[in-house]
Amino acid sequence: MKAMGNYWKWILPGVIILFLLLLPLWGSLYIMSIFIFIGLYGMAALGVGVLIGYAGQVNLGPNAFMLIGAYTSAILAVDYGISPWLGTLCGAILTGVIAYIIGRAILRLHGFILAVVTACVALVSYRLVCELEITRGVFGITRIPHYAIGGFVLNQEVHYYYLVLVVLAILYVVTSNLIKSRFGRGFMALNLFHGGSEVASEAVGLDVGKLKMQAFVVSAVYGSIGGSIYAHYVTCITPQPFDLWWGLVLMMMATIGGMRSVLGPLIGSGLYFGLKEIISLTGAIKMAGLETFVFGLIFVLFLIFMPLGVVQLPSMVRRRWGKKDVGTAS
Amino acid sequence: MGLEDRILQAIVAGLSSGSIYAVIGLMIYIVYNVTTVFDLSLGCYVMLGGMIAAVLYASGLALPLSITLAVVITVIMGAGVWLIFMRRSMETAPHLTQVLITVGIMVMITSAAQMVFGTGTKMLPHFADIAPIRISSYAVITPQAPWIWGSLVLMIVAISWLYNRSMLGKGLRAVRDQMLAARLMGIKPLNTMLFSYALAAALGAIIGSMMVPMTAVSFGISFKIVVYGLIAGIVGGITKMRGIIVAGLALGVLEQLAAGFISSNYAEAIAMSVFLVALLLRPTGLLGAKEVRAEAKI
Repeated sequence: MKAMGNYWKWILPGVIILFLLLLPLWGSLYIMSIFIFIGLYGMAALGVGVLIGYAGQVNLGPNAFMLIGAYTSAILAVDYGISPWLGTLCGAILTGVIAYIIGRAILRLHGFILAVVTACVALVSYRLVCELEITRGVFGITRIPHYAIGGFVLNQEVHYYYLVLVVLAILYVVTSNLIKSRFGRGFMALNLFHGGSEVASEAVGLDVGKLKMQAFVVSAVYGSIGGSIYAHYVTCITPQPFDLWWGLVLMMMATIGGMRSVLGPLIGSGLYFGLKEIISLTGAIKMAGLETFVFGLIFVLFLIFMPLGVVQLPSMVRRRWGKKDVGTAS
Repeated sequence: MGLEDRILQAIVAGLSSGSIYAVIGLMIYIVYNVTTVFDLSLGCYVMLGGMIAAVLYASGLALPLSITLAVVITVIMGAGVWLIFMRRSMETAPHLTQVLITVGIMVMITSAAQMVFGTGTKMLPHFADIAPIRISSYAVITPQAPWIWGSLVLMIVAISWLYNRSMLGKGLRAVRDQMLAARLMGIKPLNTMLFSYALAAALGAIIGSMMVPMTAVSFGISFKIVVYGLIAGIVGGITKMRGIIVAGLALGVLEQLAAGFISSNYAEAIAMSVFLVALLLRPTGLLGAKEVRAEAKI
């Protein structure tokens, strides 16, 4: 049984990675663009997952970080001719600093304040982007340049597919290591789903406020990177794909996939876009809002019955089978 | 049109929108005081109340009847939602899960409203067919404002009475302070939670239908409006009813002042930013400094 478990542990990820790597061979542009969106929103969702699953803090406006990342990079590239790579970096630094300032002021406190403040920041930044001159208001920024490596311009779906895959792989490795590091174990101690407690963490000498702030800054930077790549991929951005609803959707993605896992938010992102495509493919149902309704319902049902998300499924199944084995043996 | 006139106008207009924020803050307060959960789904009931009233009125019912029906329907829906989705998790689930469930419910109700009512805005006529009341050469009170102010005052009186004078209110407070002890005394915590949620839904539906003639209503307002309520609630100090009402009214006035003196495009962003700064400087609320530990659960 144990050998079997190890076997699966390597086979399944291998198959998935191979599938993802070889997808452009047979996948159409349409399929690839869906995967790109899954990846981009998955990055932001990953950030939300780190914050909510490991630091137990709710961010109701993760879209704000995507928005800031996207617009920083786009404005720098269009108005000042700065390389998109540098723009992406600037966006990440800017969001990191904003998150640091917010976190510094409030994360030392207990409570729900972060959720409200992030929702507030999302509202304000969305309004500003809709009104300001420099962001071109609701019409958005057009003709944003693509990324380029030397003279090679990344202007096709395939290029972005692999770019997103590479960035995701990097973020995945970084996050996994972060969680296994001292910070990560600190996060675990904070976690409120598994009997962790802030008071106990403080008692053993962890700087709870600092830990939460690190998680918050990391989550902000992930969102910003996703937003920046989004801007350079679609080449014209309006405020609309970063509105408040997307913030909630991102949070639901992170929770449905599984908060206490690095893979979970990506699965959640895949589920959302999959659901959206299925609903639009069936075509008969042309009801706006259906996919968010279904997704919201799934989200609530998961919270009630399986609070650790989709990634909890294998262990739940195993536990059930395990019990059965014991039963037949005796 | 002097400076005083413009300030007066901003205050008069701000008190109307501020009353709406204050009521939403009150709804959050009512639910928080029993469950210690910041319930984000409450904004939906403001939207639903307004929507249903507008739809019923458009279908030919008389105005008082459509508002009454809207409130009743909204309360029934709120109680149903609570029984289906929240009952099982309210006593045992981790606090964070409870908050997230309310977010999910908000998303569901809002999307359902989008499917049922469409994306357009809905309107109602002014309740009383009177001309706007002039209070100076520039400032006017819109015909709908007295209704909104009146309902806020009535709600404050009713809720203070409920919490401070009635046996039921004592039960509600007991559940907040010590759920186990309250249960030993024969209070059923789940019933008090259901009652508070339905009460909050009723307040939301009332203020929702009151505000429709002034601001119109569409499915998408629920999240924004609940954020306003939460800000009023937290800046005012979530366990202090007085603080919440003052903060809600101040938010509305601030928004109108920003609209009148700076730019109506940025009014929302400016008002939010000022409150954000207030929150960052005094995160425990302007009046609620002693009560931080009450929130320590999340």
